[in-house]
Amino acid sequence: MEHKIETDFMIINMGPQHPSTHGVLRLELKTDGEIVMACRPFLGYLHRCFEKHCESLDYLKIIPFTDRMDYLASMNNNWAFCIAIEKLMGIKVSEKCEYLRVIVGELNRIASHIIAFGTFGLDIGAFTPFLLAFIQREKIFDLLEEASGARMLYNYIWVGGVARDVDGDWLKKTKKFCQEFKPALDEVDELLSLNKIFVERTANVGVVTKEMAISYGFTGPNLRGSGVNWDLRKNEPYSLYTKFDFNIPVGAGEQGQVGDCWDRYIIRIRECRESIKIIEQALEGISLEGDIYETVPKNFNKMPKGEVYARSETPRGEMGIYVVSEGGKAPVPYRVKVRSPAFCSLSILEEICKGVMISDVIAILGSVDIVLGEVDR
Amino acid sequence: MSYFGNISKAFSTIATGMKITFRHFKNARKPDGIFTTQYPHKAVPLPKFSRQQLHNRIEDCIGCMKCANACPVSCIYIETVKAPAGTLSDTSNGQKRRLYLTRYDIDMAKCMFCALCTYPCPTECITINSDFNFIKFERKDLLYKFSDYSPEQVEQIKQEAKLREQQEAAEKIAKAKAAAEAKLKAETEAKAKAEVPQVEAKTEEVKAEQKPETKE
Amino acid sequence: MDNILVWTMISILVMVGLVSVVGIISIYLERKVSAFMQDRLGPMEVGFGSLANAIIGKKTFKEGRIGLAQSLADGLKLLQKEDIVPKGADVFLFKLAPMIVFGGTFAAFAALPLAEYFVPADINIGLFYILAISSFGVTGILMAGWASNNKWGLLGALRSTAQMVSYEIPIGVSLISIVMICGTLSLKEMVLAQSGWFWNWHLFGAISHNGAIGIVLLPVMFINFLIYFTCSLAETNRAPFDIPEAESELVAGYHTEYTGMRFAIFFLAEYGAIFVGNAIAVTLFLGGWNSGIPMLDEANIPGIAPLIFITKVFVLIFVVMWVRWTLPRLRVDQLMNLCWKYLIPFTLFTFFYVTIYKVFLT
Ligand code: SF4
Ligand code: SF4
Repeated sequence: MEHKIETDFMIINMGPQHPSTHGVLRLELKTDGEIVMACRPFLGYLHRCFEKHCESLDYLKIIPFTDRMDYLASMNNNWAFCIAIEKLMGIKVSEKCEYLRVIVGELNRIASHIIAFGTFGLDIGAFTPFLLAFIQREKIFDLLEEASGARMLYNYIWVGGVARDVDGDWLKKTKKFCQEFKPALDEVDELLSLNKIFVERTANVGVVTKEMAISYGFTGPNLRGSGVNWDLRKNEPYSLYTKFDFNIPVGAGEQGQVGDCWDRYIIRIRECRESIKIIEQALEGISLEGDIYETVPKNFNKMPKGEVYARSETPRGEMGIYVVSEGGKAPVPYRVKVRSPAFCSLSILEEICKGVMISDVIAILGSVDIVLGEVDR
Repeated sequence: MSYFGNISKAFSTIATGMKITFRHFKNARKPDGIFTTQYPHKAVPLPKFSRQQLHNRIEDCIGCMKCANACPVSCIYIETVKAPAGTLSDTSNGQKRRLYLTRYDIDMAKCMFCALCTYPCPTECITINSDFNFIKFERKDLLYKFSDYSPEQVEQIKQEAKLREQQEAAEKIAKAKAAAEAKLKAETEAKAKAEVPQVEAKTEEVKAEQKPETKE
Repeated sequence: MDNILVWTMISILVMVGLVSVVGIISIYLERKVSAFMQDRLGPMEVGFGSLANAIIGKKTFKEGRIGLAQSLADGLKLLQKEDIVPKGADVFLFKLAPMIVFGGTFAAFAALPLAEYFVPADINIGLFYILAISSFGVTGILMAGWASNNKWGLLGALRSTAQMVSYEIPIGVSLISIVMICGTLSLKEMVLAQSGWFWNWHLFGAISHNGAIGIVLLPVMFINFLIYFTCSLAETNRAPFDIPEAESELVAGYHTEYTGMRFAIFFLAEYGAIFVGNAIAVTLFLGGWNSGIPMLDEANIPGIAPLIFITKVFVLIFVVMWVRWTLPRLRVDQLMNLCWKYLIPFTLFTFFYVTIYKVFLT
């Protein structure tokens, strides 16, 4: 007589409360034991109607709302939005402000990447690199707090300028930070990147090929991790990025295949080094003379009618801001739409989480570095 | 990678990592080996400008509503009552205050600390300071009331203002009446003086009667 | 005879206290060690004085400054927590599970030779008994995962079972080498065989048994020790093998649904198991209660033997923590790979090496 054991797939809800979904994301996993047969992400738990809110707000008032999209890189969000509005209004920002923007933007990029690789390590199970990296993040926040007054939600970059001036002391502190940061990053790098267990866990896991990355709309470090050399700071330079000398790290599959989790991870560490380079050059170039409010519009009554799309490179990739303005007396946008890089990165989960293990899902999710605030908006 | 290569790689990388953590463990005894501080006993100083809590020097506020209009989340509530000229002192930078601030509330629970309200203020009386210690147990306690009038005073001010308004309105009416009467008087006098052109004077009388009505 | 009886009684009492004390001390150590490795301070506020003050509600005692009583306070806190049994749980098994896990660990403590007259249960198959009884805990873990009606719990329990069953093999084989050398299963006799200078310890070969020729066993004994240590990490679900409770994957693994005192018992049992695992390593490889310097042992200072033993164990526990706060976590299949492809072949190799040595060289 033959006994047939009936087996069934198990549906597991990973999230919305789960230590490593990086916010309130729900993944519905269909598993066969440890193997994940299908993975469907469910979004929207952090939807706060950002775009709709904007339709009733003055342009200046929208900026604190952009802080809350990608709350780990608020400076870059402010910046992206301001670039769009400046493009529409035809404002040319003074060089001093541009320098300040580059410095704070790159500082924030480092802070964001620290979260990215730190929590990635945490997902894999390494606690110490995460906390060691966070020490540096604290220092960045101290600097940004001194400049803007807040630690995370800065509201610092304004249309046509920046909110507050900095002094020479601040520049000196930033310089000192740059020097301290390099050995600290090397230490984390040494502690984690080449660790055999870490490499085993991340190399050859969650491989996103070049074609896949492009067709899913990957941008930023994720795209570069898949071996595509594309960075708006180089390919479509905005602000002062033509002035600086820096490299774009591209994934090469050093430990496994091109586009695996390890590649995406190491890109972020290397980008931190490049950002430090940029900051150091900007600190050389900046001069403290000049009024930061020079080009800040007093009000938005002269807002021209029309629409604009501007994109810039945030730590998570390409953030596009689309604004339709009706012009006229009531200076509120008619429509604001944000192209969120993390949303595109998230869409790949369904494809690459087939046939991997539960632990790999965590690794993949950590490596694409999403921020739910930006995904849901 | 070969079998033994794997093993040696594992050993060497693990050893590197353990060396680093042990260095930190050892350095913990040194003064700069520990990064964290014991917060309530020792606090890291905040920078001069730190956006933590809003404050309004109410004696300087002219009630112009600019801050309330600048706030993205509309969490500043202002109610004003007109004051008679000269009753309120000037602000410290010499602006005239013409309004009683019967209500100036900031809902810190709603506030998002963007500090946008502090920029347009003409008297620089709304400021954001670095006092972050304002934990409250109830949400309603986060509604900060800056107006220095007690509810009874507010009631009184409102009543007085109402009275004043009525008075003013009455005065206005009285004035208008007086003016009309004066006119009428003048006209009648004129009429008395020149009795001959009777028809014209009559039409003028009608006009004078209509005047206060149109005004209201 | 009387003497032995008294000592045995005392040692039983000591053991009872030891289990919980060891747990509490290890938890405190774990926090401090991890904190120092991450440039943090760790618990600083709750000293014994502050705890006593909090209990009597008056400021009578001096407040502590390095947080010694933190884990005790946490235990007291957990005691007061609501005991939640999830809906749909198998209540009987759910409640039984922590007791079984703890019971397994506690029973293992009984056979640990703290000193020559300090073995609560001196049985001649001590090693076998400890190995058997400490693997008993896996039943409890499986029960906990199954009974709590939680998918994460179930996955954790399954992982744990697979892991423990596999890692029993390299542990067993690596310890057999020692048994072969000593020719006994009694832990006490094994320690007695390692008395004298520290090169008599089994870590350095079999010098005490066969004289200088025993040194040829040095490399294999080192390998054995490493393998045993690795496996005991896996047996006790410690990083990098903490996949059954991998908090970033399985939330908390098999004890996801446990609250309050039941959770605390799991916690204590885990640290108890670590102590037992490392105590075996000390007993078998590192000379047990022997200090390694004969003069010190012969001085007969009362109480020094258990102290030496416990110190050695805590040094090993420190290493366990050090490893945990350095390394990431393995994946399930890699864990099995490591066991079957790397550890077991190596233990078999050392096993044959020792066999050949035993047959031809002695
Ligand atoms: S800080 Fe911002 S949110 Fe708060 S009251 Fe001022 S404008 Fe409104
Ligand atoms: S802007 Fe300044 S003066 Fe005007 S109402 Fe606000 S606080 Fe008062």
